[in-house]
Amino acid sequence: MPAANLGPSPADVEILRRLDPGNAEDWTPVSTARITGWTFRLMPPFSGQRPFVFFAFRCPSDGNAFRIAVLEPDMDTEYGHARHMISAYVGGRLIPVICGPGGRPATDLAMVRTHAAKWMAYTSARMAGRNPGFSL
Amino acid sequence: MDGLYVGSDGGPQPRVQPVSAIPAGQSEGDVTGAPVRITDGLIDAILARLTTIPPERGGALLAAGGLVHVLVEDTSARYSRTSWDISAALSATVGEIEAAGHGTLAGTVHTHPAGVPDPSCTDIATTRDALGLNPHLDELLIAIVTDGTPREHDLPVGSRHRMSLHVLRRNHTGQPSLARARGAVVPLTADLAAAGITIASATSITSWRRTRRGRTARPRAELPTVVMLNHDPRLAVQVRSARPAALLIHPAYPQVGPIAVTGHQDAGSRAVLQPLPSPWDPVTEPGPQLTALARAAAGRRIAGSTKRVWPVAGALSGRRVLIAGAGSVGSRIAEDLVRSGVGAFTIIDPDRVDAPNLARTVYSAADIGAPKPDALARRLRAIDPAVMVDRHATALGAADLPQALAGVSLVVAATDDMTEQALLAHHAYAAGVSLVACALYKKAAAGEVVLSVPAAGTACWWCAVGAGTPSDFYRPGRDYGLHGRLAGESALGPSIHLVAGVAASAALGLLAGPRSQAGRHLKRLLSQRRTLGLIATTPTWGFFKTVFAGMDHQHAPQSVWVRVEPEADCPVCGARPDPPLDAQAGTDIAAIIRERRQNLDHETQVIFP
Repeated sequence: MPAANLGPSPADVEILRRLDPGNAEDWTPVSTARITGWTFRLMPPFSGQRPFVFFAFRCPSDGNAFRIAVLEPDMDTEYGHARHMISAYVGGRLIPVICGPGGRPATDLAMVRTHAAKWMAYTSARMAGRNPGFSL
Repeated sequence: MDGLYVGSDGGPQPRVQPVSAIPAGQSEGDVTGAPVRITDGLIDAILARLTTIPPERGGALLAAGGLVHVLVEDTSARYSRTSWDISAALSATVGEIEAAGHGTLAGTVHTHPAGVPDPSCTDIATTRDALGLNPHLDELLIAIVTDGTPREHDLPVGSRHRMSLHVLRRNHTGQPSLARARGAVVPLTADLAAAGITIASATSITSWRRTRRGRTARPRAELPTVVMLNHDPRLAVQVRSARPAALLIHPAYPQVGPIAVTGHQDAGSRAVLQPLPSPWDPVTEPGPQLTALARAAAGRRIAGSTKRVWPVAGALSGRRVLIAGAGSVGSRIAEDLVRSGVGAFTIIDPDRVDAPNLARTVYSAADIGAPKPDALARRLRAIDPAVMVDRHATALGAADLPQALAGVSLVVAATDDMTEQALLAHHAYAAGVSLVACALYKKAAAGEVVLSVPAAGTACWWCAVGAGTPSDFYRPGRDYGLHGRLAGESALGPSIHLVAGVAASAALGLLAGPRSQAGRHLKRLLSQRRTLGLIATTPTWGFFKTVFAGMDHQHAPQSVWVRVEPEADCPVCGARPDPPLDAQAGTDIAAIIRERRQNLDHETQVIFP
């Protein structure tokens, strides 16, 4: 029997209160019978670009750390930030996910936001035709 | 002789009246073409059945793909001092034997009185007529056996007889012409006998009828059956075994080797054959090779092979081990386990054998390009023909892990993908299966061995070495061109094998159990929760140089075993474990990503019409 899904954990909520008190990033819990996660938006540093949208979900096999999928923009084939994006099997499906150094997942939502922001900074700069200054 | 008709429909056929032989003035052609290949068993059968009954005795010959291998003795014929009057029953019997799949008519053989070593005009005429009545045949063989020393091109039959061979072959106009032929004896029956396999090379009308009626007094060696393999006929020779087993002999044996096959009955009770790796070297002695192939087909372990391991580890033939990752670590551990008697393996690896693998694995040059599970299965079967191997040339994450773990006694985790290693370790712990994980650090200067034994309440792999723990620091960098798998490191094979040897030893200890000599030493480690072994293959790696400072006698290899407790909130081994994400979870995530992206597209259209 799968474990009961209890929805957003109090620890997640506590971190979000500190990270984004006004929920400007639109942190939204997502849960199914088997999945617990969050979607959120970050504003890219370069103007004229739409918000970047992410979906972070917990992965029990990775110590319940978060794997982060990019919902918008779906641009990795054009601006591949390979050192911070790997393909991981989740439930038998190969899904590109943002990761930390060494392919690590994010242990909490603060780290989720850090990984996502770094990926966004890189990709936003490339979309704007600028040199991101790292991870080329 | 006179009167032979054989049709593939197998029914009784009218006897053919003899016609005139070679037209006046026509002589037999020169020896041409490839030699007629005849099995040694058939020569022996001709000696035993035909030469012992003077003055004339004969029968039909059957072949498979050019290899003449069966004599059907005409026990219903009328024989005189100078003739063999072929019986109608021979035609019918040969048809039945053809229909039963034991070969196709190749010609006839019969004895002649001394001094008549070649076919008579009647022999030729009869054969010509038979060829005319069998339009599916291009040629028929006439073999004449007489007393005497073999002439050039004759084959010896025993020590006192000789056999001349003649082929009546249709020429380009469709008319038959006769040519003397050379013979070549194929030592198939003797080679098979040396491997403990007996085949029949002859039957008779009487015996065949008796067999059909189930009146045989005792079981006899069976006539081989001809099977088609890739449009190529092969003689299927049964191997005695608890399971269906056979060798498929190529007509060009021994230049082309047999294929060992095993099989099972499908739902429709049809035999489904599964070919096994069948290495064959035509320039070395065939006997031992046939023995090995027969053993492979039968799935027989070599008696005494585990004699010196059994007192330490006990019987392990009933154990199945899942090997995840068949590289320098996994392949070495698998080899140690099969040599110790482990009876079954499940091997998962998506890669193929590449040239750099030759330096540090169990693979050989012939394996280059083969999927690693196939190459490792071949290696394991070469060591123990009885071993059962399930192969999965796929990534761990794409495999059905719950199914792969069913019936598994132990998991050996030796992948270079830490994400997948974590997934496997989670599945194994959830299924209650013990796991030995082994990984090498940079330059193989050291490595780690993790023991995870759910039944003993030890910590899981993630708690011991999951991402973010100190051991992550020592691992090789990631190769992002390979989806983030660990980059291949320059390192010596022996350094890797030192660590793999520790893991293999632990694996054998867990399989053999705490009461065995192999498992005794693990008891203390497990009871003290010392389940993370750090093995240095170099004298100054990491903390060892500090721990042993000033102790000049200390050198590599050296190890410490670190205590690891389960984390209380660990989703794998903690107080409230979560199951691994299953296929439904993967579907959910894919659906969430797809739907949210669609919603975002819709949102974009609304905002930016």
